[in-house]
Amino acid sequence: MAQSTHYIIIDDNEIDIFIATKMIELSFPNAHIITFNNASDALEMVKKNPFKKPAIMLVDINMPLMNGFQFMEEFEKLSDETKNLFIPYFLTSSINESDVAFAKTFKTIRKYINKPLTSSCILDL
Amino acid sequence: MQKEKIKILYIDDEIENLLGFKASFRFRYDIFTASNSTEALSILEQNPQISIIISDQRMPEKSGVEIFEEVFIAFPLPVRILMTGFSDVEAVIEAINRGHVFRYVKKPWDEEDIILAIEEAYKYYITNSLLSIKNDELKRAYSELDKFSYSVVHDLRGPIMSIRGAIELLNSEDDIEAIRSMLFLISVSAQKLDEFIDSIHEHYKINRGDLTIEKIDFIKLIEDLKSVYSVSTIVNNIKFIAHLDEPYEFRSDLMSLRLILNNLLSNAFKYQNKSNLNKWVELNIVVEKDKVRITVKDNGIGINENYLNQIFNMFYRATSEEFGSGFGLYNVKEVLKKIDGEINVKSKLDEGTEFEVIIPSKK
Repeated sequence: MAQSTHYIIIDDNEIDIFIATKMIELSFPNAHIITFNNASDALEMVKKNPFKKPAIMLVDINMPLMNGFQFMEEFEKLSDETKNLFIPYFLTSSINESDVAFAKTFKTIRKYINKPLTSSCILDL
Repeated sequence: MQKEKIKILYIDDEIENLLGFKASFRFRYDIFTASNSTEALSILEQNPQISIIISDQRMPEKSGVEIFEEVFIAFPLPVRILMTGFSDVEAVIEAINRGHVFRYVKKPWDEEDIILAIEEAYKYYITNSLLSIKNDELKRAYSELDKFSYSVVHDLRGPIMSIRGAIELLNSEDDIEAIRSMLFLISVSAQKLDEFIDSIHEHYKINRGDLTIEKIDFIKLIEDLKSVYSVSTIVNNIKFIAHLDEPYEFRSDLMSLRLILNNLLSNAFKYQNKSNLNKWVELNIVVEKDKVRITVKDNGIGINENYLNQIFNMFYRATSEEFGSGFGLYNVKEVLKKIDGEINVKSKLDEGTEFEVIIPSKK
């Protein structure tokens, strides 16, 4: 069972945001979902933390301007108190070994998930 | 392949020798002559194709070896042959030890000796310069390939994963309207994939293709562009204004020109401010003597000035507003290199962007 029903999706591709949103809603019709098409807006929100409850955060890697790695670097600089309110995962279409290896260097990242997002995958989050 | 004459610079302080040398070899080679190092340098500057320098050793101001050393700093590529009398053994040893001399021939010269030395030197020059050119090309190709394979995985795989995701959703959807909207998403993703493949194809066309220089029919070109963007003009309500001022003839490669205009215009149409009610794209073509000045202007979302110097880099994208491959402006820059053109950009966030392209007319 999922650890939370709050979700944050960060992806520059609107289609993938739509798919992820739908997928989550299929499994959890009452889920609270916030989406961002760029990482810097997401970072601003994370600092404010609107949920006051832990949220599952799906982060795409290859995005213009601020990519998923840069976002996570900034995220990991935040206070433990803030960080503990988020459960971050990378959700990406990248199968580059270098990306997979680099993703592992982030302590807070739970898992590296390859697109497409499936419902069984959502239940495992 | 047409064989060009080998270009040779001969340096000697005695005019008779210069004339004699030129008379003996001018049918076989392209001969330039200089009587001192200043002249030699200015000839080399004006004639970068000179591949061999032959110099007399004994000269009043500077010796041949000294001139070679001086010239080597600015022109390391041409192969050096020293011409010297029997009594100059020391000079020969010095020249070879200092390392910048390929051969020496004795003076007074024997035509056969000189021809042999020149042919050998030329082979050496060709191998060396080819090697350095190929080396640079290889380095560039490798670094491109790295970036390329990285991005291909993302840009080709991305849309496919979106399609798979949408299909996954379709499986649990019964509502026909919802199914239609997902099919629409699939088609958008397929279109992205197609666009990306197009831009890769374009990229390789630029690198491998030959130029066909012809008189450019700008009137026809503008008509074509207007019809390409007519859909955008109507659907997105963007005004397209094109001006042409063509008092001179302009010659260049039409395909290159199309590629440049297509990329700049499609960006101008794509990166518009959606809420703006008065959207426009302006194309100005002014043919001047020996060159054309093209400006593509829009009042769209603009580019943050911090990113302006990076927009011509491969796979760089300065916005997440619209789908882009990060290939377009890189292709524009590459094709401009081939036709000796240049590009400048001015942009203000939320106000618009202006690209200016200047291309010289070819013979």
